[in-house]
Amino acid sequence: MQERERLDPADEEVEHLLTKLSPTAPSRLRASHVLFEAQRRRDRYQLWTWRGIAAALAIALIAQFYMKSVHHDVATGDGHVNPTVVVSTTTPHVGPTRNILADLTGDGYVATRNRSLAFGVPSITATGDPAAPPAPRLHAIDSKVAEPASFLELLVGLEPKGRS
Amino acid sequence: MMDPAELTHCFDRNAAAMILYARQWLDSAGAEDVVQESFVRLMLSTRCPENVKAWLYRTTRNLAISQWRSGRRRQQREQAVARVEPLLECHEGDAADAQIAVNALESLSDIQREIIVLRIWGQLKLAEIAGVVDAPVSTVFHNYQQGLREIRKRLGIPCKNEND
Repeated sequence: MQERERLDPADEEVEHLLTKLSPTAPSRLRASHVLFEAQRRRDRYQLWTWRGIAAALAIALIAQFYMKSVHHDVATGDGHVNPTVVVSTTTPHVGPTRNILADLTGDGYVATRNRSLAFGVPSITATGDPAAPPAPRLHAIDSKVAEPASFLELLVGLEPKGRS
Repeated sequence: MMDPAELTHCFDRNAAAMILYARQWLDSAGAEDVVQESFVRLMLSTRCPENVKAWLYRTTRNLAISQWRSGRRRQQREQAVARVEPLLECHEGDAADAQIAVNALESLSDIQREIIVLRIWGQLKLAEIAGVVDAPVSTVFHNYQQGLREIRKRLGIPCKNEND
């Protein structure tokens, strides 16, 4: 060895004497302690990793709930939030009751035809008489309001019986 | 990650010398803690270092110096009260020889003592020692040679080249 060739013989002798001495063995440190500590730290790292994943999922869940609640407030027009206008391209489903009432009123061709189909020919003469008073103009009836007793009473402008 | 059996083998071969190395800055318990921490870090490291022994000594040195700096005042007070345990033990000669050698080691400068411990009991090459102590190889060899001569004077071994 080159580094050894450069040493003096006396230095080599000292070196040889020192190599006869050995370090004192560790009093309480064992390889098993090292392995145990390494395993403990590895488990701790894994625990923190899973805790981080769980925290990230919880944050994502909370954010999703928050976004959902904000969207719900906008859709219901709650308070000062402007309602959104939803335009649907599909054909709206219209209930039959509302259309019948709307289409039975008036003096138009469609209303006359509908009345004749619904109530027979006398309904045409009743509204077709020029001397008779004009048919009442019915407004849209809320679906929550109870329906009148009969359509004829409605057409001639009479209040349903039994109502105040 | 290092295999547990391999780490146990490495521990059995190097732990005592590493503790002796760390004892330059710390007491016995602190040195063992530092050595254990070095082995745990080696066990937990994802990539095994190229030179495991040099890496261990380097890590031990950094940890020991860091701990020594953090607890310097407390350690000085405790060292003044408690007597340190023997660093070296002699297998062939008298126990007094070991104590003389320890006293001779303690008379060296820090860098000389550090290099001699790494070279003789750590079994590191000069280039590896240079990497551990952050010094050129020529400086390492010069300090090693000077340290051996100091010890030789302390031990009373005559120099074979003194007549030159």
